[in-house]
Formats: sequence, structure tokens, C-alpha cells
Amino acid sequence: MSEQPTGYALDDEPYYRAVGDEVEIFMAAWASRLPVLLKGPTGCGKTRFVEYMAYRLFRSDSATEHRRSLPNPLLTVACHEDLSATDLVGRFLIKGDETVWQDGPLTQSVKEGAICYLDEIVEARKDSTVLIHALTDHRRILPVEKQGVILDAHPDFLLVISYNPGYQNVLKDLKTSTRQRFIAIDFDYPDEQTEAEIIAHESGTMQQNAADLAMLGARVRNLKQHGFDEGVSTRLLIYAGQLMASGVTPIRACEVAICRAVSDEVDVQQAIGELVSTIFPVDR
Amino acid sequence: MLTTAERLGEFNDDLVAPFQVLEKTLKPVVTDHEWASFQNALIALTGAGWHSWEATVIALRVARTLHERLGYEQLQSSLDLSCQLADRSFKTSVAYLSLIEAWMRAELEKQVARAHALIKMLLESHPSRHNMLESAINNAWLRGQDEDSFEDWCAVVETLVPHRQLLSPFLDNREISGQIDWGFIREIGVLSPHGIPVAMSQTPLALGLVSSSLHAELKGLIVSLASRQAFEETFENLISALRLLRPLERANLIQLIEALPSVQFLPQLLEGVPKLPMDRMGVLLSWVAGLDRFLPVNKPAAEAWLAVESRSSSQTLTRLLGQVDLTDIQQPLQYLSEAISGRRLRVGACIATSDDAHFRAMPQTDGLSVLLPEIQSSFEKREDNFRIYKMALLHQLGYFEFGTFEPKSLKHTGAFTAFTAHFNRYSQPRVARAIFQILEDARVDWSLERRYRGAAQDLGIVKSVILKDLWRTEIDRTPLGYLMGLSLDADPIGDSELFVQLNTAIAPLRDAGANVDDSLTALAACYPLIADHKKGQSLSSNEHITANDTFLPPAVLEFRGELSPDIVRSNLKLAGLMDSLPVGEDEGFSIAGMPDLENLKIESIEAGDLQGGLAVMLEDMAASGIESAEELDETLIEKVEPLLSQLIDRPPDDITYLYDEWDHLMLDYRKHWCTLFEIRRMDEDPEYIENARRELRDVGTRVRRQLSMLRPEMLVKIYGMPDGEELDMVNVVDAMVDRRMGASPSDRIYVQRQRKGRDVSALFLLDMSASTDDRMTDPNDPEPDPPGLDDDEDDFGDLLAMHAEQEKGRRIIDVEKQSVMLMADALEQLGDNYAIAGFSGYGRDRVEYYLCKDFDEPYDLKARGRLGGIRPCRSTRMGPAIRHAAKRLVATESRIKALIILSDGYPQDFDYGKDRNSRQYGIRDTTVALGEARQKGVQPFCITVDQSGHDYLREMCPDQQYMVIHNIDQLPDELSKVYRSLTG
Repeated sequence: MSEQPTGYALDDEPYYRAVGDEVEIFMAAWASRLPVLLKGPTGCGKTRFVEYMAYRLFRSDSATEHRRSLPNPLLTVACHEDLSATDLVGRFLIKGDETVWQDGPLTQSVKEGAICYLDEIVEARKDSTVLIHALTDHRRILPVEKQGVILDAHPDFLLVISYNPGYQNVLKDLKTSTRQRFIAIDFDYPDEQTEAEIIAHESGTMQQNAADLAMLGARVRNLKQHGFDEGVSTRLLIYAGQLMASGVTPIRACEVAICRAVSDEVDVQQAIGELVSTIFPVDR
Repeated sequence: MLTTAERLGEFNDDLVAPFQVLEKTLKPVVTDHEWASFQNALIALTGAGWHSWEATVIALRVARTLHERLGYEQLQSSLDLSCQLADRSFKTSVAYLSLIEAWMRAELEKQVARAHALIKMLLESHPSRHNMLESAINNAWLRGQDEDSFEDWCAVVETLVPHRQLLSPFLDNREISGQIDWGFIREIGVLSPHGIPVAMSQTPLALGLVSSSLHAELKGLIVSLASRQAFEETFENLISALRLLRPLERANLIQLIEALPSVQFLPQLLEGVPKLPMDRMGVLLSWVAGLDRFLPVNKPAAEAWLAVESRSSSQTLTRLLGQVDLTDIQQPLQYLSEAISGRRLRVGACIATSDDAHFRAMPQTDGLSVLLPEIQSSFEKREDNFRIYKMALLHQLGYFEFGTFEPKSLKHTGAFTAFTAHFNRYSQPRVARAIFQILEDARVDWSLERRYRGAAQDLGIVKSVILKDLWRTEIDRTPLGYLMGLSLDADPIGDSELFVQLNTAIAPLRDAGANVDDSLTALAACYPLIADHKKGQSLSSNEHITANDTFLPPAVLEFRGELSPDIVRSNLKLAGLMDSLPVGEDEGFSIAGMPDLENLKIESIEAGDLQGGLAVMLEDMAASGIESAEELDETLIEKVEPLLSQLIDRPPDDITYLYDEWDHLMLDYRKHWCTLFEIRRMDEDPEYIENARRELRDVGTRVRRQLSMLRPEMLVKIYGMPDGEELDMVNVVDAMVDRRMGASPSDRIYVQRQRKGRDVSALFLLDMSASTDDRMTDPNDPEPDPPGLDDDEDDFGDLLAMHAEQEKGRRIIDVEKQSVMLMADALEQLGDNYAIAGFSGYGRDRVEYYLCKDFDEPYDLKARGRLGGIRPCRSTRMGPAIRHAAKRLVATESRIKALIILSDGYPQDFDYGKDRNSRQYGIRDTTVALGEARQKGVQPFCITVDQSGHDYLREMCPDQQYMVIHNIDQLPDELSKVYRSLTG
């Protein structure tokens, strides 16, 4: 589940295991072109879900010719605190003696009719979050100030943002005016059995190890309030599974992928270590 | 003139004939003078008092023999003494002469002289207590069978003569027992007459606990204890300690006591015994040798060492023997338990008490906590000991995970006593219970092994070790032993038919889907096999499986512990009911407020017997068939709740932390000495804050203004500035583009580094001890106002003075709360990260840390309500609160970490230091705690309103880190100044 570069072609269907009705809801939202907000803890599959939906909408047989021909149906922007409106919309660049306009990812998807996915939106600067307001109501327009134009969004354009309510600072919460422009789909870690399936598929480790990893994940999440907010993510469990698949012993794999990663508190680390050795046998 | 015979005859005719006989036998062998004296003595005795002729009868009977064996002098003095006795009561005299007669008959005449001297002495010192004399005489007969021991007994009596209150019960004690070693008691008596009763009653008990080869040592020990104060208590503690130990360990304890430099340390050693590996003598001796470094200088340190209270002591132990202390691993185990069970089960230590049916502390659960032994040292290696701990914990958690407490088949038989009722259906309920526990233990272990592959390995190891232990002794070749073996995965032994039958009966428990109902079914199958085999002999005198049950080797108990399913079910049920209740005020609960309960036919709830009270209540509920929450009416629930909260000594969602405490006397930390509860559930009073805000609007504005002057100190890159250190490439490009396009380019193309951000975390720690309930002294006191107040503040002073007039002084706690509230309002605007907490508590086991607002938590209605709801209660144990606050501050990873402590006096608690009157312990601990905080990069600052604060604050922190506020109304202003200086 490693991060893909922005705007990749989505030639192969990404693996996604639905845990609820999120796929149907997303399809319905797409039908009305309602912007979607994905809420959930880190590493629970939000990004993968968007990729999967993009594939279904743009690459499956039911997609229109136009959509299928789009080279980059999903444009992902990882938001950070220096991300400005310019970075999203686009800017003039100097090329030789000329100035050339370079579309930003948002403008590009608005024009082409792709899905624009703003990951961890609250991290971005305020001016960039306000920018999307006009795009996410009935107007569906994007003012490009520098060029002095207002773009109407392509009928296929869809804005998806993600947001992790858990670890954000209260000061950095999403503004109400922004939040109320999206339908919100809640994500959480899947149940043990589903998670085991996901781990087995993604990491290629043995079924037994995957089941044990899923059990470990569920147990560690019982400790949420002690020094870490979200427990261990499915992504970390998959990492551990991948290490196991490449021959690292289960206990060592969990140690490096999970114990050290989730908390700095020594007692919690020790407890997770003991939990690992309870679940996984030692090679003797 | 009448003859002697005639004079005797005047008293009673029965005297004449014996006298005449005596005249014939005795007169010829004594001198005339002696005979005359003898006759006079007889007359005197007969006339001494009412009915004293009865004594004369015996005297006449015994005179001849007495003279023959012991001579005239003894005869004469015995008569004289009996005469004196008869003067008080003829009975005493009769008793005395009968004693002489009996001894003559038994040829124990040697004792007569000794008894004579003793009784004479008693008579002289307690002339009016003839009952006591009679007891003494009767008792002398019992004790006089052996010459040496009689001599010792007499000596003991002589020692006790000055102590009337001891003497009477001693003489009344008619216990005939060859076990009393009078020589030993005499030795004790010489050292401490008060020790005699204790020694007499307890010594046989103590001796019964050790093998006969150790009797001499133990007696020597008791004698050396006798001269010490609190002999009685120490002796009783010694016996309780011995009782808790196995035979070998008892011998070790005595040997260890002998190795002590002085017996004065015994009380501390006894305190430490439960934490010591009593079966490892070598380790114990090296450990006790560690005392040398403290003695003779530092006695407190030596005492803490022996009680295993000091950090160095437990570290030494741990190093010496791979021993694992529960306190060392309690926190990780707590986390492990929460992770595995998903429940808030508290992991704690089970303390063995000799009053219990079971003497050894065993792992167990009551549904609210899992209790494990304090130490584990059965094995030499640390990892092996830890494994036992971990497996014991997993096993207890397994009961929950695999549904031991949710039997479907017992659903209809009452909620609280279902299991007991079920066992009672068998002819021997105890046997049934024992079998069930073994079966259920086995099922839980097998289920654990299936689910947790890692645990399966460890369980395998533990089981095989125990099994070896089990088969080593012959006693296990009982049916229950076989069953136990099977539960531990034993291979078939021989071709025992019983073994095969039992194996078949329990086979279904190995299946993946086996549940507790299968265990009950298996119980039905196994019971006849075992009970018939036992032919009705009772399994054990105790209700539960205990360490005294011979068929269970101790190791099984260390690992599987004991199971009390009904208690767990009751607690779970009640806890469930409590959770469903709204958080109510359970303050003010008292036993006195319980008469309503009697209406519910719940009787005999006594103060201090809450547990018993609850048990009664549960019985009643079970009896009345109440099963569901709906059936319990609200009033009953309300009664149960305080009872239960007393039982579980804390609401379940408080997180606990253990902190060391510095003892300045022993110059070491007392390890894990304080238990701190971080409390989130507290009374909320948001209105308080709203009112205070309105009231103090002016001060609030000023505090905000003062704080707004705080300069941010963190450098932040600001883009698009007209000048700066580097070029802002994005804007440069834009400017270039604009120029090319013919537009006017912006000149804001630089990046500047500005001090914009503040990386500050502050924690306000409020003393909420009971003393903060006091009203502050009149603010118009002669204390001069500090210089530098502007007009504004003078006005404010007037305003507050007016307030003070109205309220006759505000409470300290209110001023603390209001000051912090003003700070919080200002900090909200400033954007600094801050937390607010109060601390209180009672004793080291309950330090309370009320977290009103955590870092990164919004200062919302709830947080404000918690701050408003802070109320004065209990004491001021500052050390642990500071340590905890510092820990929280460090976790914020801010550059500036300020800890501001508001208090009203020196640190104190009822057990803050052994000497309650000494403040030193608390002050020194707080000093060290502040030092620890500074070392971690936290800047502490103490503000006190105690006018004598200079005295101890000077000791606790450098001058610039504390402040004594003379006029409490200055607090808000001073607080904001302090804050500025700390974080600016």
C-alpha cells in the first residue's frame, strides 16, 4: 500500500476490500457529483479506497470512452502546511523568453474531469481550503485569478478530501464552512477477519500469520488511550506481514514494524512486546 | 482449765478423736515445748475464723506425716500459715492444707517448703485477695508435679507479684499442658513480666509451626524479643509470618532472623517477608548482609531495606535472584491485560492474610481486577519467573475471554450464586467445586493455546514444569491428582482404568468450541469417578481449593490460582448496573445513612464490614430471585453503588501510576511508594466559572493585557515580505512573470524569519487540600502593598476589598480557581498549550490527581465545569503530584515547559514520613521531586499563600522559583507575572 506518485495511470485494479457500504455511497455521491470527505484514522485504507473508486469509475468497462481515455484519472495532493492556493491552481513559469502557464493539479482535474484527492486537507494553508468552496457547491467553478478566468468544472470532475480527526490539533480543525460542503464517509479499521484477509492479500504472508497480525492489531487498539491515539494501523500490520513474507521472524518483524512505531512509552512498548510474544511463537 | 481436746471439742466434736490419736503418735516424738506450741497453733487455727475447724481436720490428718518427713519446724510454720489464711477464709486454709496432704500422699513433699514461701509472699503482698490465694494454691498442685518446673513456676509467680492485673489471670489459668516450658516463661518474666501472658498463649502456637529441631532457636528468639517494646505485637506478627510460609521457609525465616544484626529490626523484616524469596536461603543471607552499609549510622535506611521498601533493597534482591517484583512489571502487565481483554481490569497485588481460608496469595480475579502475587521467585532465571506471571495473568484473563462467567445452563438458577447452587447439588460440594476448577482451568488453558500460538509455547513449558512437580510426589496418585495431571497434558500413566475414564470424560473440553457448559457436563461425568473412589472422605476442610490441599502442588496455584465464579458474576453484574447509572453524587455516603436498607430486609451491615454487607445483600437478591437490572428498583441500586465503590476503591476508568518517593532519612527512594490516580470523572460546575468571569471581568482584562505582551520566541518563515534573509522563489517567479507581461511586479519577494510562534506548555497544579477551605485573612491587613502598582490596580484593590467586606474573606481554593481561570482565558487567546490539574489524596495509596484540562484539550464547557467543580478535600502530598505533572509536561515535547504550583502550606499527609509531626520528610521529598522536574527541563514555580512559606520554600527551591503571596488578591496579577517570566 505504498504511496503512488500523483496522477498515476491506474492500469491495474487496486485491491480494496469493502467493509461497509462505502462503495455504494461513493457511487451514489459520484452520480450526483457530490464532494466526498473521508474521515478516519491513519492507515485504514482511505487513499486505497479512492484509488479503487477511481479505477471503477474511470477504468472499468462501464466507464465512458472519455473517462477511459483520461491518462490520469486520479490526482492526489498530499497537503502540507506550506501548500498554497497557487500550488493547487497553477502558476506562470518562465520558459526561455516566454511566460508559460502551468496548471496545478486542481485546475487540471477540473478541466479534464478527473478525481482530485486532497489528502489530509487540514494540514493545508487556509487560503487553499477556501479555494475549494466554489467548486464544492452548486456552482462547481474554479476562479483562476492569475489568468483572470473562471473555469466551469468538467461534468466528470469530483473532489475528494480526507481528514483524520484523531491526531489533529484542536486549533487545526476543519472549518465548519468547509466541512459542511461534503458528504462524510467514516472509515475505521476493519474487523479482525476482514483485516486478516487484507493483510494476507497485501503482504503475501501466510494465512496464519495474517490472522495473528489482525488479532494483534485488534488487541493493540484496545490500548488506544495509553500514549497513542489510534492504535496500530492496518498499513503497519501489512508492513509487518511483508517483513514476515520476506523471511524475518514474526516476533522481530512485529518488533520493528509495530512495537517501536506506535508508542514511545517504554511500558507500552514492553506490553506490546509481550502481546506479540503471546500471539506469535518464538522460533526455538 | 480445759484440755486441748476439750477446747477443740467446743468447736467441733469431729476434732476430738483425731487429736487424741495424734496425741498418741506425735507427742512422743517431739519435745514438750514443741507439743505445747503445736497445740496452741491448733487452737489458734481452729478459732481463726468461721468454719476454720475444717482446716484443723486436715491439719490433724497431715501433722504426723509432715513432721516425720519434713520436721517440726515445717509443721509449725505450715500451721501458722494456715492459721493466717484461715483468718481471711477457711477455704483458702483448707486448700492449702489439702495441698500439703496431697503432696505428702504423692511423695512430693519437697515442694512443700517452696510453696510455703510462695504463698507467704503472696499473702504478704496481697493480704485481702483470698480468692487469688486459693487460685495460687490450686494451681500449685497442678504445677508441682515436677520439681524443676515447679521451681520455675514459682519464680514466675514471684515475678508477677508486683503486677496484680497480670497475676490474677495467670493464677486462674488452669491449663494443664506439658507444652509450657516454665523455665522459658521464667526467662521471659525476668525480662518483661508483661510478656508472660503472650508468651504463654502464643509460644505453643509458634512452636507448633516449626519442626522440633528449631524449638530451641525459636525460644531463644522469643526471649530476646521479650525485653523489647511491643513484644506482643511483634510476636504475633512473627506467628502470622510463619503461618504464611511453607515448612522449609519457616526454618529459613528463623535462620534469617538470627542473621540480623539486632532483633530490634525484626518488625521490619516481618513486614518484608511477603516480598522475600523465603525458599532461597543463600540469596536471603547475601541480601541481609547488605545491611552492613547502613549500620550503625542510618537506622531508617536499614529498616526500609529489611521491609523491602527502599529502591536499593529491591534492586539488590532482584539482582541476586532473577526474582520478579510485580511492581516492576505491573504497568506493562496492566497494559497487556487491557489489550487482551479490552476491559479495564486493574492488575494488582494479592496480599496473603492468615485469616483467609487460603494462606498463600494466589492469582485470582473478582471481575474488577486481576490480582497476582507480589513477587515471583520460584525459578532461578528472571525470564522463567516472568513467564509464570504472564501465564497467570493470561489464565485469569482467559476466564473472561472464554466465557467462564457466562454459563448458559445456569441461566435460570439465580444470578449471584448460580455456581454455588450448582455445586451444592452434589453430595460433596467441595469436591465438585475442586473438580470443576480443574476442568475449567484445563479448558481455559487449551483455549488459550489454540488462540495464542506464542502463549501456547509458554504454557507448554509451565505445564511441563508443574507436571514434573506433581508426579514427583506420591500423594498425587489420587483420582484428583490424575485429573490434575490430565489437565496439564500428562501422558497416560500405566494402564490405570480410572485415568482412561477421566481422559474420555474431559476429551470434549479440548475441542475448539468448548465452553463452560461443557466443563459443567464434564464435571457431571468426572464426579462419580472421583467421589466414589474417595469413598466419602472429605477433600479439604476449606471452601476453596487451597494451598493446604495436599493434592495440589504449590506451583499449580501460583499459575492457575483460584476461581470464584460467583463473586465475579456478582461484581460484573453490579458493575454493569453502575455503568448504566448516571454519574451521581455519591459524596456523603455513610453507614449511618443506611437505615432504609432494613426495609429491604438486608440485615447486619456493620461499619467496617462493607464486604460482608454486600455479601448479605447479594444473598438476599439471589434469594428473592432478582436477576435483571429492571427488577432492581432504583433505590436499591443507589444503595449498592456506594457499597460497591467502597469495595473497588476507585471508579474503573481512573488510570493509576506508581511513583517512587524520596526518604531523606534513608537517603534512597522508596520504590513505587505512591499510587496516583488520574481522575477525569469529577463533579462539574461550569456555572462557577461563568459567575467568576462576570465578577472578575476587570481583572481578567488586565491579565489578558499583561499576557498579550508576551513576545513569541519561535522563529517562523514568513513568505512574501518586502525584505528578508532569502528570496521567496515563488514570488520571485511571479514578479518576473508580471514584468514580462507588462504588469507592475510585486516587491514582496523575500522570506523573513519572524518570531511568531510560541512553543510553550504550562501546567497549573492546584493544591486542593482541606486547608484551602479556609477563608483568607482580611485583605486590608497591615501588609504593605508591593511597589509598582499603577492606578488601575489600586482601583482593583478597592473593588476586591469591597468584595472581601461582603464575603468576610474568600476561600483560598476560590482564589486559586479564579486565578487559574483568568490565566486560562488569557492563554486561550495567546494560544499557549496548557493544562490544569488539582491534587489531593489520602495516604500513599491514594494520591489523587484531578485532571481538569489536559494539553491539547479544548477549554470547553466540560473542562471549565471540572475546574469549577474542584473542592477542597484531604491532604497535600506534593511529591507524586509534581512527578506526575512533570511527566505530563515532558510528554508535550515543548521547548518551554512551565509547572506552576499553587498551594497554601507545606506538603503534608498522614503518612508522609513515619513521624507525623515532622514536616521534613514531605519537604525533602517535594524538594527532590522539584529537582527531578528541573532535570527533565521543566521549570517549576511554587506560589503559596502560607505566610510562613519562606521557611520551607527556601529549602525546596531557589529564591527565584517561589513566591509567597501576602495578600491573596494579588494572586491573579502575580500569577500572570510569574507566567510571563517563566515563558517569556
